Amino acid sequence: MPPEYTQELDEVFTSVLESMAFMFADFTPKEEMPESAATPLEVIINFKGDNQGTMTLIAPEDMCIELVENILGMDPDILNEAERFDALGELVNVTCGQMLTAVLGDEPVYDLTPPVVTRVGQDQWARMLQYEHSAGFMVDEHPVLLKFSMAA
Amino acid sequence: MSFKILIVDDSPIVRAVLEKTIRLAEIEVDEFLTAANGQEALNVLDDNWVDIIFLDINMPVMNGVEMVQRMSENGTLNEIPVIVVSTEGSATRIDNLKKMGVNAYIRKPFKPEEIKSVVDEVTGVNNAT
Repeated sequence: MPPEYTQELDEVFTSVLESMAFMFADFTPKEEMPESAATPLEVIINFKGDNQGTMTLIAPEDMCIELVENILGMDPDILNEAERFDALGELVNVTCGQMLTAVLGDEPVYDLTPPVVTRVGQDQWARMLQYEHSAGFMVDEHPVLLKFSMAA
Repeated sequence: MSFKILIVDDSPIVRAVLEKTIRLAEIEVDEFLTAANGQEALNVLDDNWVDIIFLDINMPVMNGVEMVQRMSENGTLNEIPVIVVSTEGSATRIDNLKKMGVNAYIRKPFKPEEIKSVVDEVTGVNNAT
């Protein structure tokens, strides 16, 4: 990932998390990130317009619980799994939209697909960790990997 | 003045957050109605009159742009104020939506004071005093 994208990804993700959920993301060198994450979930959003690309996030399932508690002030136990996963999907949805204008400005029009949230294995976490264009964050105690890729 | 509000978003979390934020903004609400996409929303509007619609853009089945288009072709529905709430920041798309009849635009993430200001603007609350 070009250095300018890394900086914008850091600024956008940190700002969105703070605004949405009063949670704080620390950009973390990947060599300091853990080699595995507990019950990882993957969120994927595709965008299409003048350019097309993908935002991908992998984070532990426990982060959904903290997101729901912080966003809604609600006991996450009363929500079903799909609703808890939806909180993580919406975080990536807002991050992707903000990232597009941070990188490309506010003139181009993009269509975003709804976020798809799935359980993945540790092998997917390991692949994302090794991918040179992904960025690592610690969000409170939760390790998070984030990738923004775009083709002309 | 108390409002009947329709929230249209495919995310249950966003629908819940909007309800909570509208209450935090101290907007008087008579009733909340919800829909997960444009088609569901049009079905709701077949049987209910609402005062304000909060509308997402990117949704499955029928997106917000198509719903606004369908509302603009209906002499009754096109009078309902529509506030688009979306993650998008494209000025081009926002201009196009306003030309289609959308009254206001709020970008996610949003704050109660933004919601209050826009609702006052589209309902003419400040002008009435």
